[in-house]
Amino acid sequence: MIEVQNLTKRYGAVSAVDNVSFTARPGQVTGFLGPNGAGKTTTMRMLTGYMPPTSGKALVAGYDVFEQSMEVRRRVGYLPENVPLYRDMTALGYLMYIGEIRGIPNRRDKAREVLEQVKLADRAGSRIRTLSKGMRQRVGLAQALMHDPEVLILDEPTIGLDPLQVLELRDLVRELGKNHTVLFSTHILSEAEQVCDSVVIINRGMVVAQGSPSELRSTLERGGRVFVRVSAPAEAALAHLQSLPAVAQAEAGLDGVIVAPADPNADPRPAIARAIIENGWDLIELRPLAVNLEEIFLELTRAPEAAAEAEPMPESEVVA
Amino acid sequence: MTDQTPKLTEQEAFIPPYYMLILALAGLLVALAVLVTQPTFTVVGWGALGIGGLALVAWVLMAPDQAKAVITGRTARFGGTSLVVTAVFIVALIAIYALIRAQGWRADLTERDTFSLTEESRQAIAGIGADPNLPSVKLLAFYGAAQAGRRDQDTLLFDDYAETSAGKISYEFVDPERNPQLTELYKVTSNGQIAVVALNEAGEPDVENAELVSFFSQDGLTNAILRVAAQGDFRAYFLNVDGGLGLTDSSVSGMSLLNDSLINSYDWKTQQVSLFELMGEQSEIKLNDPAADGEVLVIPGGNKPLSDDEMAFIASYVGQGGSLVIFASPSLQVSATDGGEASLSANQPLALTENMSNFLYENFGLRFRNDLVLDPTLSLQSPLRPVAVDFSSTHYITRNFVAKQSGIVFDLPHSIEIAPTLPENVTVDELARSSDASFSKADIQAIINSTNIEQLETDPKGPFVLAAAAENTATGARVVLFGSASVPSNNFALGSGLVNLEASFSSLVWATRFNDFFGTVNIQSAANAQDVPVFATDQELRNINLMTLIVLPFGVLAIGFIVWWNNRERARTL
Amino acid sequence: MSAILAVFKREFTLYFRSPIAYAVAFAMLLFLGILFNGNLSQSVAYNVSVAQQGGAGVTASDLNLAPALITFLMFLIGPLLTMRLLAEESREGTIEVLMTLPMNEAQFIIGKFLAVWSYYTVLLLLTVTYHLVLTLVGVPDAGVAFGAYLGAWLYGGAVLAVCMVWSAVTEDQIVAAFLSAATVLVLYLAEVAAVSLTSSPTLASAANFVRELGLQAHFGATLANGIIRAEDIAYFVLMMIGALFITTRIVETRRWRA
Repeated sequence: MIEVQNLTKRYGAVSAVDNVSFTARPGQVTGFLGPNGAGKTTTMRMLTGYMPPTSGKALVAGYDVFEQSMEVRRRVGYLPENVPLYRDMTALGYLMYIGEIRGIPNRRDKAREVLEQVKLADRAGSRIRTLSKGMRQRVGLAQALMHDPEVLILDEPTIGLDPLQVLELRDLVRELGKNHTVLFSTHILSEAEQVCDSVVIINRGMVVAQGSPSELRSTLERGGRVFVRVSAPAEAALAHLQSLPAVAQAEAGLDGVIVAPADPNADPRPAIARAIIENGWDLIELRPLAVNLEEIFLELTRAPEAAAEAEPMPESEVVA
Repeated sequence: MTDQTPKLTEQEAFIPPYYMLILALAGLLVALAVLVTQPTFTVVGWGALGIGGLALVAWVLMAPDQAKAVITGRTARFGGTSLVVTAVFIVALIAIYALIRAQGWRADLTERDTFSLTEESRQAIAGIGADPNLPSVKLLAFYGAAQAGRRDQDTLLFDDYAETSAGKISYEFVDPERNPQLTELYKVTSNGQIAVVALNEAGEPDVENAELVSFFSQDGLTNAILRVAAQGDFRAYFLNVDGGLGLTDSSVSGMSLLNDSLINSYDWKTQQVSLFELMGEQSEIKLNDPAADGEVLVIPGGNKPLSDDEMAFIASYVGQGGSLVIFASPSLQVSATDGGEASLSANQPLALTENMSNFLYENFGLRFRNDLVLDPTLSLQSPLRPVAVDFSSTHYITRNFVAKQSGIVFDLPHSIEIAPTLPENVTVDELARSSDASFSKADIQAIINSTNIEQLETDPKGPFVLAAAAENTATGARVVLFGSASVPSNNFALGSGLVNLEASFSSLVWATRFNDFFGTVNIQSAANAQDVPVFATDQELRNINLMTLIVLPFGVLAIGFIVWWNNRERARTL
Repeated sequence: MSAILAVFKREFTLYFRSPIAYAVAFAMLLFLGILFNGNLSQSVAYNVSVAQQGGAGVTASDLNLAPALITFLMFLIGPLLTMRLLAEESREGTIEVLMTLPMNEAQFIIGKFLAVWSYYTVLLLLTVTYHLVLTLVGVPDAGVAFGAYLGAWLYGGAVLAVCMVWSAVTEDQIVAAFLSAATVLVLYLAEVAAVSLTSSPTLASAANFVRELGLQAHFGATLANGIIRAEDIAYFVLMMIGALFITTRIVETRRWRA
């Protein structure tokens, strides 16, 4: 269980994380989404006790991250973003070192067990510098699992992996999510959609949306915006679509045109399709906008105006 | 600071607590400034420290939450206050250091006692401490700024002096550059010299008789202290007699070197007087003066007999426990003629006149023979100057002389006859003897006539006693006889390996009991095994070379290489 | 405690796998060995010539210069041994994992410090060889040797702690090494600086303060010669505590800004 209330981290006048609040429930994988520099890593560092917050409060496994940092650290497994490891140590040696600092009894058995869990048992005696990127990622994950933590915090664990490794890791995370509280940060949206039970989207240090992937999708779809791509000069297409009665506003975006309907409850697509065909252009793509998290994400994080628009999101739905 | 601000507002009616913090900081800073810039931690320093401390306590009482937050809060650990906390911590460390330093606890681990008193020094210095008659002594160590390390070292030794002497010895470090007057006063010529000076009852230094120790050694310093402290009233009267040596005469027939060392090193009173002066009713000089710590009458040669009155005067002096040192003039006088040839004439030595001989023989069982001891083998330049190298190893006067390595030159000496049965209460010690090859001629006139000094069958053969000491244990009178007046003269005082001056000097010391008065005037610490110079054969040196130049460093390198190789191999195979 | 021990064990064994540690040991032993042998053979030759004239010769106690020389070399040894310690952890980011383990900065830094100090102790113990060699050719003063080695040990600890501060300040090992070397040299030369300060009488206590701030004033004249003073021991111990405290603060503060 992770409960974050008004967590803020300021560097002088700049806020890296500003008044962030969310909850991650046990038995769930919570996705932490945002572009680079949004404050994901800073938030996660605060949650693991690595970085003290400027103000606000965060409870991890029931303990305050600042006041009871050691208690929190005992219950959290953390995989940092770049998976820093001691390159001169063997995988097993590294895990045993971590285990020794954590004061785990039977560290050798435990280390072998977690290596088995991350499917790295055969490379236990290899020096870390000889391991591939994916293997190192798994050593890092094994490190986070050494002490059977209640809470797992994984900072972009799939970055830099090949597709097969990514799939394996996602499976692993989903598996772990069943009996841990997992906070999982990524900037790959499809990943969050596949893996996460709920998602928190953060941009410029602020939470811009949160909820389950399906909730977020339906929320955004309610606007009824439509994405159109046409084989015509963009400006001509834009002008033409703008002129349609069913269209309230059209603007260029995503290599095409985004159209807002005049009546949010009516589907403007037939009218648009007809208009384009009649004009003698080819319709290449026509679909509701924001059907996947990728687009929600882009919508929300593209510009500060967009973020501001998204602010009145029904937070109460997510935060109990 | 953000998490503390709410607390501040609650106290606004009062003086804001942070004023107290500012006050505390200011106090501590002033105290630190005083500590750094002033030689002693003055009233200002203590006052500032007190105000600082009180302000700190006041702040804690006024704003306990705030105080708690400073120690445990996040700003204390991470924020701006961290710097202040660190500064306070470091100031606290400096304070602990100052506190420990003030204790002055120190120990000398050296096996040789380099920085603490050796057994010999300890005894001698403890003797000074135990004797209430001795003056206090101050050591002024003229160490320059660059000798701070030596100051640290010698503090241990000086402390030991002070402690062992029960506070009688004190010390002070003087920077010669900072204190040119003092440096001038004690005639210090270079940094690192130590002036040893006695203090009178008012605590004023007796600069006149101060000693300067130039080359630092513990024995040297201890001996200087002993000498400076030895300010008893010791008097040596040298009789002014015809043909005798002059006390202040700096020619070869004078005794100025002996006189100088008596006065300068041991602060004796010396005087050359005639018996006529001594015997006068109004004489300022009174022998057997109870105020004196020791006195001695010296007869430095002379070739005119004493009158019976004079002899009676001396006998009375000795009878009351007075001491006498007699150097006998030769019976043969050698003088150079114009042609460069030596001409010989007979002499009437004072020491051999009948009244003196009888007095000595009856009272002390010894007397000079009217003869001339010659030594063809062990002599200086001519057989007429025998050198005695055989000394009593037990008697105080000669015990420090190493037989066969040091010698006393006797120019035209008389031998000394010791009675087979000594008078009651008298003990006699032979101090120096001529060699086995020596012989004596009794017929002086025959030598003058024939100038023949070859050994004859009839001549008595050596060894002969050339110096002797006697003591009457009942009266305390002590007498030392030397067969030649050349012993105390400047002529042989400075020769290498010659101990003429030392023998004369220590006979005066013994005769006056100066050594008893003081315990010892000259200590020498025992040698240590650690002082033995290193020695190694070439083979040993080669082995050591191999061990320390090849095996040790390259062994380490080889181990390093093996480890590196192993790591590398593993990296490749896995 | 177990955390300190774990960090200590890892770092200490790392020194025995690190080429730089062997290089430092080799260079130091070669340098000391050359000086020692040169000194010894010269002294023996001198003693032989002096013995014929009956003068005082060179004793064994004059010859074991290893502790004093090591304290001089500390401006090289210290930075070389410590530059990696914290700078590398920051640069590689490994500190981020460590600081999310149930271990505080102090434990982490104490463990590291004890490791480097122990490795230094091993180096120092290797030079006891010279003392043993001297017992073959003379009688070295054991008290002097003990004082000198105790002093060099504490001196080394203080220098290593000071160097660790710089290793914590910067992520760049080379910068850390240079700053450490400069700091140690300044502390080494404080005694000399103090002498030049004393030319002005008003600065006498300031000069003394500068002198006592330096390392040599607490070793060269006293411990190296077999004198143990409470303030010298306290200086080195407090120096270690102070430097480690500052290091801890820096690592904590870096976390705040990370």
